[in-house]
Order: sequence, then C-alpha cells, then structure tokens
Amino acid sequence: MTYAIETHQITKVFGDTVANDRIDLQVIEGHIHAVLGENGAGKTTLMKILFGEEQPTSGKIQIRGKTVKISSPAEALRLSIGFIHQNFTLVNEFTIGQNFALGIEPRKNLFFADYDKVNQKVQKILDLLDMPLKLDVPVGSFSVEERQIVEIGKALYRGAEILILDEPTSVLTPQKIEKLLEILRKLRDEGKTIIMITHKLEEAFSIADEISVLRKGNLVATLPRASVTKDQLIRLMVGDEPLSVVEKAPHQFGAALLEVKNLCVRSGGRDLVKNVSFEVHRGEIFGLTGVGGNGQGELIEALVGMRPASEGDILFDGTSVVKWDIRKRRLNGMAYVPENRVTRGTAVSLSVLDNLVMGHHYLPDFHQGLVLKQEKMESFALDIIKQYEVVASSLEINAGSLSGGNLQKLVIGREFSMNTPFLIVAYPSQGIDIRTTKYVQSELIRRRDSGCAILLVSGDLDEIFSLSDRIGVMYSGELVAITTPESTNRFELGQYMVGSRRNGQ
Amino acid sequence: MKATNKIRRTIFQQGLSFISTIALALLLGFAMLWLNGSAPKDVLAAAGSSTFASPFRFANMISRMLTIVLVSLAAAIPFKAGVWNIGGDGQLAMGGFFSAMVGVYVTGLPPVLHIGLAVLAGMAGGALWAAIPAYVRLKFKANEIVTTIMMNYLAALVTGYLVNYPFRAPGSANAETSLVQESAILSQMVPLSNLSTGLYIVIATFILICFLDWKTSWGYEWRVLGSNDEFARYGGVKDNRMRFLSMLIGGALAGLAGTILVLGSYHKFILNLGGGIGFTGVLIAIIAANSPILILIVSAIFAILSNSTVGLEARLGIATEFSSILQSVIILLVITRSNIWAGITKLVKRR
Amino acid sequence: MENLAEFLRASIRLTTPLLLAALGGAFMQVAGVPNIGMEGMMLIAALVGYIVSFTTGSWLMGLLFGVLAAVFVGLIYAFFVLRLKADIFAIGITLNIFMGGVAAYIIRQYYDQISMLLSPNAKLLPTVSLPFLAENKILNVLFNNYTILVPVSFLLVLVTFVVFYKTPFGFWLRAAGSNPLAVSASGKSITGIRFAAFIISAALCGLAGVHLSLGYLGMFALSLVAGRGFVALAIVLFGSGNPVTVLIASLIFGIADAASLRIPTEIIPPQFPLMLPYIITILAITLMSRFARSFTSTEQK
Repeated sequence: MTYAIETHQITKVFGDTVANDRIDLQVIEGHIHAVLGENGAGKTTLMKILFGEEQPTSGKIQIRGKTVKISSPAEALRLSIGFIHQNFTLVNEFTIGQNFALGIEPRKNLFFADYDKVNQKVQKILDLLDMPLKLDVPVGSFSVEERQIVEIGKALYRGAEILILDEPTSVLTPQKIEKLLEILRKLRDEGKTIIMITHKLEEAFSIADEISVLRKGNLVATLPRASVTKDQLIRLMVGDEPLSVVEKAPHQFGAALLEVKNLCVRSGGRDLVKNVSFEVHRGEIFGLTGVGGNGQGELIEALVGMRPASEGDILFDGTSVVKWDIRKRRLNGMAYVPENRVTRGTAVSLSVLDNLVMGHHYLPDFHQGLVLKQEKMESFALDIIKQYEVVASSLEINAGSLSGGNLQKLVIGREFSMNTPFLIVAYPSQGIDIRTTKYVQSELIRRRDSGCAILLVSGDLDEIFSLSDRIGVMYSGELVAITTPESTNRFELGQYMVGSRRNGQ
Repeated sequence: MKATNKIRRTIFQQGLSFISTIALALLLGFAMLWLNGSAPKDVLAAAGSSTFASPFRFANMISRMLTIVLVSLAAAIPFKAGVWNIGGDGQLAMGGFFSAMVGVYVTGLPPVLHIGLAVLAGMAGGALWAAIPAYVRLKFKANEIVTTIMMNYLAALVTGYLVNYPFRAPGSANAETSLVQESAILSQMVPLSNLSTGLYIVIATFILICFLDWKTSWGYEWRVLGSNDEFARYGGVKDNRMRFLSMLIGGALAGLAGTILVLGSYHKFILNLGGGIGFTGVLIAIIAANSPILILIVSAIFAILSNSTVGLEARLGIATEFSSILQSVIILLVITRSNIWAGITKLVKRR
Repeated sequence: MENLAEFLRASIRLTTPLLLAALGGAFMQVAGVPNIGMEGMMLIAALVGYIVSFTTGSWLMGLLFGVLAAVFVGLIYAFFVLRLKADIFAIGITLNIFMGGVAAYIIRQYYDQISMLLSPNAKLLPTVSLPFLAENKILNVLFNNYTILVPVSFLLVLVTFVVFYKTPFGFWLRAAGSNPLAVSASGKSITGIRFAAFIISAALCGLAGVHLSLGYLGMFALSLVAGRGFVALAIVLFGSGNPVTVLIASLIFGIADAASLRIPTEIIPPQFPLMLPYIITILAITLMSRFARSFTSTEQK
C-alpha cells in the first residue's frame, strides 16, 4: 500500500496563529480521503500547502515516497496534484476544450492550435466522467454542477492523479450532490487519489475510504471509515470537554424585540437562507452558530439591510422593517458588529476618529443641521478608546495601523456605545486576546441584563454555549435547531452543525 | 479640531513624500532645461521675474491660481466620494455662459444683487451640466469618465452655437456675447490685470468648501464613501444621494470659475473660456489627494509655473508649453510616489 | 446615387481612425485593462509621423516613427500600471494631457508654430488604386483610391477577430480579462499577457494617429484628435471589445461625422450635427452599461 501523499510534521504559522500544528497526514493511493473539521480547524491551509499556494513554516511533504517541495500551483500540477477551488478557474466564454487547454494548447502551426486534438481528449474525459456535455458551447451556459465537473475534468486533462476538492458540495443542490459523489467514486476506481475537504458528515461518511479529523490546527485522528461511527467523528471534531460557562444571572425574557418570519434570501439561483424563523427577546442573548458559510452571513445582511430579503418578514418591536434602509434600521435601535472588521467594519485608510464616528454622526446629539459637533465627537471617541482599551496613540492616526485586535475593539466600542436595544454581534472574539475577550463577553452579559436583545453569531462553541440564553444552529441555509445550553451539549451541537440531526429528531 | 491645527496636520501628514516628490520633479525640470542649454540660475531668474517682478504680474498669477483652485476643487469633491469628474471644462463654460446671460440681459439691479444673481446662475449652469453624467452614472452605472468628457465637447458646441448665432454681440465679428452690464462687472483689483474682486468670492468659496469638508456630515460621508463604500453603506450612509450631491457641487464650483472669468476678466462670454484648464484641475485633485489645502498649494505652484514660462520664453527662448510637460511629469511622479519610494527603499535595503 | 456613394466614401474615410484606435482599445479591453490613453497616443503618433514624413520625405518612415512614438507611450503606460500598480484611469488621463503638452511644446519650440504644423514636403500615405474598380463609376467611388490605412483598417478587423477567437494568444488575452484566476492557474503570466496587449494597442492607436495627419489632411493640428480617443473608448466599452461590434459602432460614428460635415450651414448651424457623435456616445454608454461588465464602471470592486 503506497501513500500518494504523506506530510511529516507540517506546521504553518501566521503571525501569532498556528494554523497547522505538526500534521502527519497520510493519504493512501487510489483512495478517497475526507478531511473533516470545523471552521478554523486548518483544513484549507493544509490543502493550500499541498497545492503550492502556501509554503509550510516547517515540515516536509512526500509524494509517492519522494520528498518534494511544492513551491507553486504550477509545480503542484507538475507533480500531478490538481486542486478544485470553490471559485472555479473557468472562463465562461470559452468551450470546455478551450478551458482545458488554456496555456498548453497543442499547436497546429505558428498561429493556430489544434483543437480537434484537444476535443478528442476532452471527449475521453467526459466519457470517463459519464457527463454528456456539448463540446462547442461556452461553459457559462452550463449549470453550476456541470461547471464543477468541467473544473474536475480540467485537472484530469492536465494530468492530475491526485485531486483535492475544497468543500465541493457547498455550491450544489442536494439532488446534484449524489451525482458528484458518483463521479468521485468512479475516478477512484480508475486509480485516482482524491482528498475532499468537508464539514458535512453525511457526505464524508458515504464516500470516503479514510477520514481525517482536524481540530484547532491539529490532526486529531485518521481512521478508516469502516471502523468509525458518525458519533465518534463528531466527538473528534468538536471535542469532549464540557463547555465553559460564564457567570450570568438566570434571566427574565422580555417581549420579543426581533421577530424573523420565514425569511428567505436568494441569490444567483441559489437559496442562501431558507425559511428561517426565530425571535430574539429583550434581555436575551440568542446565539446563532454553525459552520461558516451556511447562511449566517446572508441572514445577518438581510437583518441589517445590506441585502434584500427575497421572502418573509422582519419585525422590530412589532413593526415590519424589511423594506427599511440601513440608516432607518440603525436609527430605530439596531447596531451591528460585522464579521469582517477590515472590509466592512472600518475604513482602514481613514483616521481612528473617522472610524469611530460612523453611525453616530447622524444621531441628534452629534450634529446641528449639517455641522458636526467636533468636540463632542472627539471626546466621545476618546471615551470609547479609554473604555475599550484600544491601543492607539491618537485619534488622528490611520485605522490601518492598528493591530487586528485593536481594530476589533474599536468596532465593538463604536457599536456597543450606540446603546441600542438590539445588537447583532458577529464573531466578536476573532483575533482578540483573552483579556479583551473576557471584557467583551462581560459587556454582552451586562447589556443583556439591562434589557438588550442580542443576536450573537459565532463558530466558537465555547463562546456560544457560555453566553447564550438560547442557541440556534444553521446548516445549509436552514435553522435546523433551536435549543438551550441547559438541554444540549457539544456533541449534540456538533450533530446539528454537520447536518446529522435536526430539531425534532 | 481647530482649523489651524487641521491645516498644520494636513501639511505634515502628507508633507514629506509629497513635497520631496514635487521637488524631485522640479529638479528634473531644471535638468531638462539645463540639457537644453539653459543654466538653472537663469531659469530661476526668468521664472521668478515673470511672477514677482511687478504687482501686475503677481496679480495675473493670482488670477490664474483662482481658476485653477476652483476647477481642482470641482474635480476633487466628487473624487472624494469616488466619482470621476473630468467635465470641468464643460461645466466652466456653461457656468460662464449662464452668468453672462444674467450679466448682459438682466437690468435694473444694484451691483450686489446683479453679481449675486449672476454667480448663482453660473453655479447652477455648472451644476446642471454635471447632473447629467451624474444621473446616468447612478441610474445606469454609465462610466462617468466617458460621459463627462463627452459633455465637455457638447458644452463647447452648444455655447459655440449660442454665441455665434442667437446671442452674438450685435455688430461683432467674433463669437462672443455683448459686454455685461456695468452693474455685473467685478472690478479690477490691480490695474490692467486679470485679477478682479472675484478674489473675495473665491476666498469665501474656498473657506466654505473647507468647512464642508472638515466640519459637516457631508464632508465626512464623502470621505468614507471614497475610502470604503461598503463601510459607508454598512454605517447607514445614503451612498447614491451623496455621490450625486458631490457631482452637483463639483459642477457648481467649475461653473463659478467660469463666472469669475466672465464677470471679472473678460466682461463677456467668449469661446474656449477656460482653455482646457479642467484637465489640469483633475490632475491636481489626484496628486493633492483631494485635500483643499494641498490643492491650494499645488495650484499656486502650477500657477507660478504657467506664469514662469512667459519669462522663460522671453529670456531663454523656451516654449511656454514646457509648463504642461513639467506639470505632467510632476503628476506622474506624485501619483506613483508611494511605489517609487518603496522601490527605492527596497533597493537601499538590499545593499 | 452618386451622391450617396460620395457620402459613404466620406463616412468610410472618417471611420478609419476611430476603427483603428478602437481595435487597439479592444486588445487591452478584453485583457482587462481599459486603455484610457488612446487620445494621447493618437496625438503623438500624428505629430511624430508628420514631422518625420516631411523631414525625411518618406511616408513609410513617418508611419514607422509615428507608430513607435505611440508604442513608447504605451510602454510608459504599461510600466506605471503593471509595474508600479498605479491606477489605470489616472495614468491614462495624465498621459493624454502629457502628450498634449509635449505636442504643443514641440511645435512651439522647434517650429515656431502655435497650434498647427503645415509643410509642403510632407509625404502623405499612398493611395491604393485598383484598375478593375475604376471601370465601374459607383464601385470606383465606393471602394477605390483610398489611402492604404483605410482598407488596412477593415482588414485588421478580420485579423483581430481571428486573433481573439482562433489563436491561443487571443484566448490568453480574453482569459486575462474574463477570469484572471484561470490564467494564473494555467501557469501563464497575467502581466506578460497584459503587457503585450498594451503594446499592440499602442501600435494600433499609432496607426490611427498617423492616418489623421498623413492620411488625407496633410497637416497636423493640436485639435486633430478632438476627443476621438474617448469616442474610441466608448466604442470599445460598448461592445466589450468584440471586433464586429467595434466595426459597426465605428461605422455609425463615421457616418455621423460625415453627415455633420454635409448638412448645409444655412439650414442647420454647423454645431448641431457635430454634436451627434458625442450624444450618441453618451447614449451608447448609458444603455450598454445596463448589461455592465466589470470595467465599464468605475465603482469600487
């Protein structure tokens, strides 16, 4: 039994974060190997290293027993490794053959390429994949699943023996997933080695020969599928420790402040949020969790007003706000700490002051007609900096010069200080030190105690568990569970997160 | 923050790389002329004399500077909000024409009112001319670089028609309107020069723009829009409205420039009023990073440069067009200065 | 009938510079780097071509050096955009002004002229005269006796079409504009491909410029290009660089241009028909941006 790929003590460090910690992965040749893990477990980093898009900080890689250095994607291709990205590398105006052969066209003469030759090879590959697609139409006219197969075909055309797929089923509708899995099985039977990154347990279970579980940068286990149960895998993915609990008083729910009714968000033909309904009450922290990319982002955007809702209603204190613009929602008592503090939460080329003032500058206290009350804003900004311990030498420096953690504190400080009855907080502790995290969390509790309604979105189960009064789990655009910390545990949450279970089962 | 502190801070922050790049470009200019046969000492003397040798010359330089400042602001304000306004020339022309109409045909008003009305008309004309590209940009995402430039040519043609036919000064062989009424004229400040009391209007406008930029929510929202429009939207800024507004104001400023030329310098509307200064304004806005104070400084430099070429030509036989070459070199260097300096430091570090 | 033929002939002559420049623009457009500097490239090519022509007495030399001048501008443009990563719109506009200044400077400094250059020694581009066409009156007017760049420009439409859609290089170009990820995944260099696009584009704009001064007019004026570079940009944006659309749009503008010169000034003042191309451009840009591709608008990505 040979190993197609072996990694020895692969470690990748980004600044302070250890994305991959001494990973020894072994992928048997001719097998399908699934890599499971939550967000941030390090799966994508590891695959990027295997495909030459990242270089390991230390460790070595062996392909079929030979030690290699994968310095670039071109090098990976030369080593017969093909990577199927989530964003396809296809040119929509080109035919299949034109896409496959881009850059390596066989020449008929100086000026022209021999596409007959190309198409012969294409047809062979399509036959192998059992996909009857037309050779003379632009790939943009194909459906998403067809284009994904084309992307796989492209790797095969260029000689890939090892295929790495990154969350391939995330763009597919449930019906099409089975077709993809069939194709992967077929390729395996043809002798290809397949590595599939996924967080969906069912798929990994149905297709893999071996399953590796990554957790917090570590390779926790590699097991043959035949000898492991789904429950065991979930435990490996989310861990076994009891979830920590932050001290908080048992609380009284107030009235429902936010009501979401049958909310649907559609884009590009896909259902990103499917029929989601829930409520957040005054004096409650509702913790929404799930693996990233399962609709949480789009749901928040619809609540805030940055994305239109396709269907359904959003009620704020009984009033429908689904047609309101962002400013109106904010003026009526909503604040939002976004997941991406750099692209959305701040403008890094502007000053710290400019960043702190956003959203406040149209509040009555801070302006007189058009004129901004400069001194009031400055003292307000200084207060925030002090209170939230943002390390910034002055209000005038560029926000971009602040460290990630300080930037996050800035955003949190700005939004929290709006003292709104409703607060959406997405991934608040990402990239912050422990002390600040504790401070932020205690702030959240304090607001909740004083009657705020808080929607907390996070992938950190500890955080969700300890802060939330109620917990919701999103999977594939749906709210598959609403529960409470008292009545659930890490394992059960894991089940919900990987689609293994839904409320009522 | 107090205005003086703000001025100081702007100059300081942008200061070093900016000034050194302009200095570099000027040095290049001296080098070019030296290669061509003119010693730097002579160049400096010739340049200096054409601006500072007499009040008349100095006044002309200031007059030119006023126009440059206004058209630069006309490009800078929309630019702050992320919108390209290359239509300064056309907006200037329309503004000039509108103000000429009020100046020529409205009678019976005391000077203050007449001038005030003419100024308003001029700003309205410029704003109107900017509103069209602004509208198609917002509604249809039409590329405003192309549309504003097209509007420039259209303005030239429209005013060309108006001034050759219906509104031509009776008995005149030239394409121009009649002289504006006495009550609409902005009097000269220095005899025989181009500099008029329009200076005060421009100063007031400049202060107003600085005020808008630093102290109002408009200025703030434009700044944010231009920096990160997703952040602006997230924070509740009404992006489409603010972008449109910025274009209107830009157009009004260019229209004001035209108005001052008509009421102050020429006392009538003539074709090619601005002489293509609109493009220079765009470039100044780019290199001054849309900051009013820096625009003031760069406008002064460019005005002195333009003026100097007269002296350079008279004494050293260097064509006046050299200034636009030098201006372009300055601009190219300043635009890429961060990359240039980064490249230089990299080279130095490698040693 | 003859009048119509004359009219079409004038239209074709006026189409040529637009067509050449727009084809050049198309090369850069499909590669994802819109050419904003066509106005300046055309101007400097017109000037240099004209000067070299009357200095050496050879139209071929003029053509060559005109194109080289434009290519030189293209090199500068490519350097600032591809190497120094400067904004393509800003540098393009700067180069246009730069070339305006350079041109004005040259004719002032070296020829003592203010706004135009006229020399009896300038050798214009030769005309192509086909005897068999001369036999038929109508055909003669429509297709015979054009200066070489006119038929060349139409030929180049075909060449461009073949290059874009039938050669590997064309595929690389279009991939660079459509999905740069595809190009980097294929191992080819996006920068290298775009650089080639800059050069080809500049060369074609050079041809357009040379045609303006040496094609029929036999003179150079600072107002020679008159915004055609931006009209060409609009043409390119309109069809996203498709050579066939470029041809059709250029013809429309050529016809509008010719029409504006023919309308008797007693009936309609000359300014009105001259407005036609610009109004059409605005309308075209507005309408086509409804189906906007990523680089027609300047909105942040």
